Amino acid sequence: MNSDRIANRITDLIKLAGISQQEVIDELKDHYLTRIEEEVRLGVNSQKAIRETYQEIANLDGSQFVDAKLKKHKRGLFFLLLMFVSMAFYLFGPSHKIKENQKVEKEISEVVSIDPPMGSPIEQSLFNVSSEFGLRMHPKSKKKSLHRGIDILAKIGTPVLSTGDGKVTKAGFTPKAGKFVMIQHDGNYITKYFHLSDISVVVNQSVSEGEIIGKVGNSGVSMGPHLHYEVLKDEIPLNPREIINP
Amino acid sequence: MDSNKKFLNGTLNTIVLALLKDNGRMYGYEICQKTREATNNQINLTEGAIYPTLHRLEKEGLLFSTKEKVNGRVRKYYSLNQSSISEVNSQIDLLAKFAGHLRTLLKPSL
Repeated sequence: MNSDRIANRITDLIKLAGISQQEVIDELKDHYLTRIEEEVRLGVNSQKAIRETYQEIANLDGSQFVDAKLKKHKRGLFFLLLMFVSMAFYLFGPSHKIKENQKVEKEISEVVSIDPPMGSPIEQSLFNVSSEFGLRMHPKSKKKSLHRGIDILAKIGTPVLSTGDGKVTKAGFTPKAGKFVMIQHDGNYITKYFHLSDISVVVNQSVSEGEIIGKVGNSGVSMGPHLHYEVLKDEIPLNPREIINP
Repeated sequence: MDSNKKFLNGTLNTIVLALLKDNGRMYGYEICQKTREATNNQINLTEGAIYPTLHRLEKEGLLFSTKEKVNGRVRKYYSLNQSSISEVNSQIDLLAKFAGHLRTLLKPSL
């Protein structure tokens, strides 16, 4: 859990709900962070607790926080404003307001979106990438192709870790990938781990970030012991380098 | 839940005052949590209800707040003002009596 990042998102969402006083923002931020900590302490999956809290803030009605007296005062101004707005509406049409709403909705959906699995598949100190993500000459076929993940050099038997909370959707063998594991995470993220020497999870098993799912090997199409690691969002491969938390 | 909301409209102030009287200083989340625990999850105070109420009571002078750093962020605690304790007592007393009357009135249909 990256708590600074969560705190920032919570602040953004509270502002989007229409609350602008810093003191109220701070108070609500403490409320929601306490709620997440409390739920995690009681055994709720952290991603789930965070997602539900984000959703709740997105549904918050900021107008409840406006002082009642101020509301009354505002009512007078409101009618004056109504006159101007109706005039402006008549002149410029509704497109502006719709655009504004769409913008806010887009912002909310961006803020609510779920973090990718950010853990490291191999203990950070052992991290040694031999082949980066992107277009490369394939080491065996010698053809230019997209490398859909990164290759991490490691000794046979080095523990391979799940990079986020999720569920094992595949665990088995193919001639190319060798022994492999595939994990589905929240937010439509998938991670894949290839060329293992040993698999220690089964399909449908729930795993948490940092849990051992297998061991590094040299199975499948592989030129030496290493882990091929992929992250996909909506089935599109992403550069794991940019996702793994340093 | 919605019917609870209706009843809370006129009673939330007093509930908050009573909780603060019993527990000394409390922060918003703690008040929501205590209420849930005490009512077996039947009364669930929303942020949109509890914080405006606390802010109003503070403005009216019945409460005062203090701030403290907890887990690297600011937490706002509320306490009863000593000078308002008799008014708080009488509010709690009035509501308790009213609850008694309600019970009597509703009894035949229970």
